[in-house]
Amino acid sequence: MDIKLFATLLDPAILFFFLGIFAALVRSNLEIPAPIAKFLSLYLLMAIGIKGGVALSVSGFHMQMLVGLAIALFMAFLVPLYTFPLLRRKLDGFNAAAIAATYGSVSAVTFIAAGQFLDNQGIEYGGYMAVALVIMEAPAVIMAVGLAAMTRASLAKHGAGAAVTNIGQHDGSFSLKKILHESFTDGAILLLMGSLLIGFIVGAESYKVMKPFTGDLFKGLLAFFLLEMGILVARRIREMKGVGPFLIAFAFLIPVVNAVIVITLSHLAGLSAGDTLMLAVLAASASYIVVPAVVRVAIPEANPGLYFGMALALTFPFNVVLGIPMYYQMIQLL
Amino acid sequence: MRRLEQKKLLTIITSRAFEKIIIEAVRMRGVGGYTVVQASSGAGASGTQAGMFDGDSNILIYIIMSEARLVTVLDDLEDMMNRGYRIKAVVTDISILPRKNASGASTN
Repeated sequence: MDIKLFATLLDPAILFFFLGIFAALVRSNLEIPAPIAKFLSLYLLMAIGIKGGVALSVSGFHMQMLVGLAIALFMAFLVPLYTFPLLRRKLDGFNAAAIAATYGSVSAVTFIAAGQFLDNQGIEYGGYMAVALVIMEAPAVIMAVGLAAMTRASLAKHGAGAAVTNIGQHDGSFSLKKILHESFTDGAILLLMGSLLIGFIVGAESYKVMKPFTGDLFKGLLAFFLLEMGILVARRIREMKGVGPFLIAFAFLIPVVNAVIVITLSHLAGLSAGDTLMLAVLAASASYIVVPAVVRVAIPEANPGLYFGMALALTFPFNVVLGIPMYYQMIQLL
Repeated sequence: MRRLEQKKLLTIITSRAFEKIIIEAVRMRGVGGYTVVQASSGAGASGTQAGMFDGDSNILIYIIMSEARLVTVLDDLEDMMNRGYRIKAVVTDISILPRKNASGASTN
């Protein structure tokens, strides 16, 4: 890793992330009230949505965009497909399906951190990446719910008492329609898509009015948000002690494997370095906002401490601190 | 003074992700009134609930109802718990000052 890339660790936002971790580790009473942290996360989504929409209005629709979105969609299906059997070696079907869904889906905050990384490097990326983020949200959950239903059916077939009968009845209660509805009407996704559309409609000229809020304040508010994320991560890390080496290795290695697949595909398709990095980060990230909320209802048998904890406490900090510069380095090598 | 009415207070502690599904279920049992309170933080078998995302936020749902209705609601909650939903249900005997006189209809 060269000095310029090492300097990304000295980015104020990343340093505030470390500060949050430190504060939680020394059991400081530093905390950002939940409503403010929630506001910050919504603000960041609005800002990247509108920025992406404006960029899209400038660039227009092009072939590269379709290729990029096709890679995004391909990864959203591929990741749960290959991680589920891998996870089944050590876990029951429900936990395997829930973790596969979490890793098949995406993390908006990691995406934002990658965008910031590219801005610092002076590299542009396509506005359509916000669309890629949205379309990668649902497929993994749909597949995981299907896999969990198969597990339920298998348990019911082998007869394990009343509880299983009840579980069997549960199959139809969380339909495909409901999952899609929950995924696309989730507040975060709705705001992101809405902001993207607004940015696309207003275009670059009208965006100037919004820029002091969605552009100039962005970096400072991102740093503030990552401070809170650091606190959350450190609190969760303590609970990861009993997870075991297999899942810890999974949380660190699967993101790298996914990123390598995307970088290879994007390279073959001739995508730009900026687009490749954003797609790689999307594929490498794991969801801890939308998917855990949906999976909790759709696969209640799975332990949220596992899939939520792994995504937030292990994969998120790995990607933000090491993953993003490492994937960028890989792209530079090609 | 109006006569105090004997009721049951059901307190459900659960994930915010289950709010809609539980409210839908109790409404089906004829419950018209309830109060939902967001917990600032907590911890349990699902790990720390920091209260920031829907997936790590706990809520408390308060419902006042008659014993007869409570039995049906508890049946639904038990069914959900059998499916794996992480729910804590606490029932308390309470006395409330009714909105109407004892002869009038109660809210739940």
